[in-house]
Amino acid sequence: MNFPERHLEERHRLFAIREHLKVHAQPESSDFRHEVAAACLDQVQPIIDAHAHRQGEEIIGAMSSHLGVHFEEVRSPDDISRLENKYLKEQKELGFGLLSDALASEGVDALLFQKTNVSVQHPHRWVAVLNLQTTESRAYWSRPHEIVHRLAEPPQRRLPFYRHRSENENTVERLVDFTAAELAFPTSVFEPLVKFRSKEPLTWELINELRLQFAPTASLFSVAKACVKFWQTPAFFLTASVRGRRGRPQTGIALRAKVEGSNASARTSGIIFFENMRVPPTSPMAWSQELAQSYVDFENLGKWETSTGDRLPSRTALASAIDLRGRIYGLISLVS
Amino acid sequence: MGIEAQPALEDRIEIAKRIRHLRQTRGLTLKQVSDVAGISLGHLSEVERGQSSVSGEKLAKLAEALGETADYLLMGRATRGLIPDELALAAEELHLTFAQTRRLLEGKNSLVARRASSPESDWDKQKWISFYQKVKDIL
Repeated sequence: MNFPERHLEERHRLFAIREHLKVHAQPESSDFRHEVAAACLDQVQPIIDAHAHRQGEEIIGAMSSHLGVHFEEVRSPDDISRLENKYLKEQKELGFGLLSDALASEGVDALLFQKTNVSVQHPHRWVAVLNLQTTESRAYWSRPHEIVHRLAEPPQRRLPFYRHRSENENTVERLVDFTAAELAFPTSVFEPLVKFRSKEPLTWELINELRLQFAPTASLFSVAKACVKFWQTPAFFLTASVRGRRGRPQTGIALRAKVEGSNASARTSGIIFFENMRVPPTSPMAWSQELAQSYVDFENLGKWETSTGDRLPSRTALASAIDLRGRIYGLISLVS
Repeated sequence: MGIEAQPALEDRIEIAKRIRHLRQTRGLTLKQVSDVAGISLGHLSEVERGQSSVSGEKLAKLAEALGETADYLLMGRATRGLIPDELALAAEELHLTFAQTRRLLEGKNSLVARRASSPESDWDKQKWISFYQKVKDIL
């Protein structure tokens, strides 16, 4: 599919979402994603409220039951055979004849089937197959992601489509991810948990504790994003890896950072981590990369410098850094 | 499909209304649709005002650009399950009935979404035949 066609397909889908959810904002508007997220959340808020003291997995499970989505997990070829037996041979769902080939393709995260041999009232009319053969990291996140597709888009058989997670420019997927964050870590449930711990230092140890408390199957990445969002003082979640300059990847090879998340107070703090900014050797993130272990320490953000010599304001921050398979994860929280 | 025939004036106006309505409800400009459908801006504008008719081939491209079927643009009714050319070739080779062919298409379309790091390759005749081999016992 070439650019204008893909762009048009995305626009069709954005307008279909707008019509389906009766959202007023136009897709180009900055309010659009917030209105879409609010409209989706409205549909499931009673379920969230009814499960307010449960873990994230139970809340998501209740949402998926309500929406007729049944999740299946594939970790091995045996799981594929089991699903073929169950759906293709026993339930005569022809689509599952595509399962093994579809999962054999590289980089397939999830498949969503709409059953054809059941009534519209069937409790499991949709089957989402999560491919966990190479990594478990998306096991939790994939569920709210698929649920948002069900909530936001009109009946999908009218407009069959394929979704590609690597297409960062895909506006529909970005919109779905934004909304999925609201479902995966609902404000009404997760914010109080974070607030309760906000007097403690923002470290990866705390993130892991919150993960185990609220959603043990969630990745550290997704919990960190949600936690930073609700943190009470300015906070950033960064990742860093060794790479070159933007546009000139062969030059200036160094540990360079990317902002993955921040909270509202961080965005008005005057601290702006520029895209691909070099991590200074004085940062615990650099130590973590050098020695492949976790570090927690204070650092002066004034040591962060751009290639043109600009520096961040000189502010003291607590930095917590870990090395996850060669990628450095950093939490930066300003000290008042 | 008989879409090469020139429609009567009143039909042309109805087709024009459907095209314009679809384009507007999808928030598309004339330019965007003309680019994708490969129809000149001027011609599309005339078609939308019912001043000009459109060939079957261009109608199919317009339908694709607007996310609808050519049948819908022509007749104003939603139709589903048009048989793709590659499936038709496979069905011919496999001596499938129309009902079997439709069922095969329905089975393929029941996989409504695929989240992956790369797009799926196009479905050629061989892919349809492989799918048939997998499901033929329950078709």
